[in-house]
Amino acid sequence: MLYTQVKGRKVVSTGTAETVGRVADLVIDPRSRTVVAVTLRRSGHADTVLWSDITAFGTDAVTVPDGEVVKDANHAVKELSGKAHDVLGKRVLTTLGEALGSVSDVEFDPESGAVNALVLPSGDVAGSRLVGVGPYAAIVHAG
Amino acid sequence: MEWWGWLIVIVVVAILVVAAFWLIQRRRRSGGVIVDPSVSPGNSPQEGP
Amino acid sequence: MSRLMRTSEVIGRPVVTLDGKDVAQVKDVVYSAGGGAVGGFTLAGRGPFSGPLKQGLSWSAVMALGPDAVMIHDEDVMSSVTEVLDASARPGGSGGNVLGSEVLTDTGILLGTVVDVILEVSEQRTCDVVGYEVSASEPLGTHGAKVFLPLPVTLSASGEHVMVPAAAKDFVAHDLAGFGAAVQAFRKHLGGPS
Repeated sequence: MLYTQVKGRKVVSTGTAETVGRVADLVIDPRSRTVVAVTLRRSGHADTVLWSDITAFGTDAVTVPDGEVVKDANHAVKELSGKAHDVLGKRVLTTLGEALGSVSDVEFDPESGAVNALVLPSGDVAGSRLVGVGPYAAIVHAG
Repeated sequence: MEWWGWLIVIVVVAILVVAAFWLIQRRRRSGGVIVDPSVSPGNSPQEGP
Repeated sequence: MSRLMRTSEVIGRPVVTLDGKDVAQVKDVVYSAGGGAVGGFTLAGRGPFSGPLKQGLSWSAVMALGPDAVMIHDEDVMSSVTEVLDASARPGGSGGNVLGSEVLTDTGILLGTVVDVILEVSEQRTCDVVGYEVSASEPLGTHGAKVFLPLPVTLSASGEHVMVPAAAKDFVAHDLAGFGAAVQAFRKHLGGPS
């Protein structure tokens, strides 16, 4: 599943059958190379759903048990959120100091949340190569 | 002051701002290649290979 | 495979941590004229209004010097500028900028002016100045032409002059490729690693 496809997707509660919000961003942990949370566009303050609280990531909607799972981001997730850590559009540098291009998309596994690949115009970079993401660049091991 | 007086003030201020910006940029970007720095007091220098 | 690069390209290159943060950019390259070993870099800040930093970066703290960034493990590996300068310091040295220095033979003839410095980064992660790019004066050939002078040919260097023997003009290369070959040849001749 691709990050750009998921943006704006409905998040629906299986308990109330109501739309709880829409996907704004995926929060990725470069250390585990997995999606750890999803931030939503919705009215109200709380806007983060932990990956573990998601029932399923479908092609047409993301399902959650109820609206309660949408909380304020805990400290760990906060550290990984925000523009500084958003990998989409970010310049990619290898550990050898070479620029590979910018991330145009992220291919992830909707079941496990594992980041399979960073999609770049010059070619895909395996998710296992991810080292860190910061305000200037996403760092990957040289291929 | 006449309108042109104000115009001069604006232009002068603009020039000063640009000059300040340019001077800071120069100081920052003016990198060089430093050869054999002088030994700072109280420090024993490395011998060349 | 070792790579040649110009200090003009390295100056201004961002210094990036493995966390993806650009913590500084290269301001000066610091080296010892005897042997050419690069000791490290002085740094400047990244914002449009920032000036030189109090920190420097020793070559030993550099993970990689790539075409687009200098990679370091984290911000803690930077040291003070004094430490970096002291590591390359020599008694009698004055720490001038060799860019703009006049290339002078020991017989007092001006051969040209240094306009760039050529670095070699080897696979063994060593970084050395291997030569100078010189804007030639009459004695070297067409005035203003750019030629390359290998470091082993030079006698000494400072912020004012690079001193060479009169025969130095026989050892200049006229392009970077030819210069690279000359560096290899010199190395074989001196019996060092290639």
